[in-house]
Amino acid sequence: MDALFLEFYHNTGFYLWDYRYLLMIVVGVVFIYLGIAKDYEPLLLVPIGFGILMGNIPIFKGLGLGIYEPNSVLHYLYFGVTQGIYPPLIFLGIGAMTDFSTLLARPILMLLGAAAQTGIFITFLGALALGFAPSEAASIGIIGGADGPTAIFLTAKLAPHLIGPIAVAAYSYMALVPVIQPPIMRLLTTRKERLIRMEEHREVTKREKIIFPIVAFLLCCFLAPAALPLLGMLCFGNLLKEAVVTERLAQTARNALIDTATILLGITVGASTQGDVFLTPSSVLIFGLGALSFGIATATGVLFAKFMNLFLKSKINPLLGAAGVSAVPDSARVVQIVGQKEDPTNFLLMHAMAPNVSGVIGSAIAAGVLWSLMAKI
Amino acid sequence: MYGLEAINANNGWAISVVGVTIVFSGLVMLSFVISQLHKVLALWEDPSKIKALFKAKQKKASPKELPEKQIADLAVFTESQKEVAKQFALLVRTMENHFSLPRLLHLAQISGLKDPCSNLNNFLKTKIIIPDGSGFFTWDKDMFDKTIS
Amino acid sequence: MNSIKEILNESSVFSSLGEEDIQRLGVLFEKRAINPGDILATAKDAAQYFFLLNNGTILLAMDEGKSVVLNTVGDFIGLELLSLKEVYKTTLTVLEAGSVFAIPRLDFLAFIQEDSVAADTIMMAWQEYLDKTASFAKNIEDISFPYNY
Repeated sequence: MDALFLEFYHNTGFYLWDYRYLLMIVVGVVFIYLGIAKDYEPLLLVPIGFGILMGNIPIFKGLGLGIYEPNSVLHYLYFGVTQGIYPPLIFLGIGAMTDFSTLLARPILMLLGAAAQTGIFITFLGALALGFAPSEAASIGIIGGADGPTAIFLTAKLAPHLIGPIAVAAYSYMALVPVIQPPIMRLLTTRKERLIRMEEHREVTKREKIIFPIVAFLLCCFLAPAALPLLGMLCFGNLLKEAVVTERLAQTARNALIDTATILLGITVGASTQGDVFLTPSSVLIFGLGALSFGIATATGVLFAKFMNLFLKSKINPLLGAAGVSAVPDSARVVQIVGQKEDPTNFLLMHAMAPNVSGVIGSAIAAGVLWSLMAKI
Repeated sequence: MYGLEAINANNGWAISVVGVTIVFSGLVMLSFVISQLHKVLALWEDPSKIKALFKAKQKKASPKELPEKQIADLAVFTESQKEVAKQFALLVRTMENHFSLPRLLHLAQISGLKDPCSNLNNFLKTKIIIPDGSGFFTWDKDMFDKTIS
Repeated sequence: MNSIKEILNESSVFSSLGEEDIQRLGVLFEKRAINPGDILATAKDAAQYFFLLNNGTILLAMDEGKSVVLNTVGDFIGLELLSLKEVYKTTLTVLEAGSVFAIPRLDFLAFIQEDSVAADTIMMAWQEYLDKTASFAKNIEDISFPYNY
């Protein structure tokens, strides 16, 4: 009987524990706390946080329990991450809830979304310089796109062993957008520039809103075919929304479908961040580069807006450049808050949504470009 | 390998430049297409505007005299009616391009506009409001500007 | 001022009728003055009358925001354009002052339900008139099944 109890004890987490698991459990609890108590991106941080807890229970390998063991439930669910299934489904839901009318009313603001994606490629260079392989560097760079599903999608294709740290970094920084962006925005703009009021935009017709996803999809995917899964689903979701006759499908896409994909993505990505895999020097570098990527993306967006103002008669408030980072709608809200601190009557939110949603398109194109370029290396 | 050596060895500069160029090109093209989209749709919805473009020169050479009835129609609006017309125009702006006429009437009534029924009738007679053939109506901004100015 | 016979002869729905039938039908109509803002029929109320326009303008508001503006002498507002199963399905609002001739619904239905040439003539002319004026207003049976597989 003693031998039985001993054998049982050797299979428990108390016996198999490692300080790294404990550390990750603390990280998981912190994520859950930030999500629930502080309301920081709860729909993302709570599943990821709990996934971290699930992935860091010390278990006896070989029983088919862990996420990396072939016959485990978590492994089957993780298939949607490694094969890039969940991110396009999430993009379908994002398309079905996004209103592109502010972008259609003032298309020039799309360029701010393009400018913010420069941060991806600058971070790519930085990651190369730090010794990461090109495919790893591309996956790290995409963190600057501030788009969780895109980051996971690209990393699953190019550097699946880095999904854990990259996903955690991407979602952490997305939750920290209100902390990271404002200092950079204030540093790069003058008070006079922050006070610029935007012109009211024209009314956009229903027909334009219906044609836009079709045109955007065809144009962007002809240019960057590798962006097909993400952009295709984004545009399809938007078409379902705008077509009205498919409102039933749009409702499913932006409710049940996106929630299901988010739950499964969050929990499996969290579970993949096991202590022995996650707590490595390269994870620390990834976190550092991720922060850099975010910062550079914000800065390039703001600076490009200032550059455009040299040629435009009707000036753009350069704070809008920060919304080119595709953390929808948080960066747009940050622009609103920073702008209102200077002038409480200056409502920039709807104008900021234009570069914000174009950033989603831009980061999907950037991911497609990086994927196709890395595939050739 | 680290630093610039690593970047050069992995073709980093070229990849970055190509990547940024493609992202920018894609969004610039899309931005241009979208900026022209509403103009193309406006022409599609009202092909007479295309004809009007070609006929512009002929009109300048021999200004067409309006038939008496049309002139009378254009002169229907008094100053106060013109003010109400401008308020109607604002209401129409909040509606779809192809809008519901009963809904416009209802909005005009609850907004307290003067003589909404008579004014709507004036818009119909002067072809500022035109039926689209499927139960909805459109607002001819050009006719409105010509009539009210 | 037009008499009912003159209006019936001008109306595309009734102009093909013989003199005798025009006479027989004409006595069933009674003239009413209309003013802007008057509501001649309200959707969902019991359907009592059909109307023949003498002069003025009437807005006929249907489901889903659709509508038709009637302002031609002899425009007939009745049958499926106005009612369904003894209830008005549209709302009639007067936009411009004028007059209409009203005929009790049951009297009109009795007239067209006769097995006569006049009834046939009216129904054929009515279909043509409805196609021209408001083809979208025809009663089409709908299956309320949400999917097409």
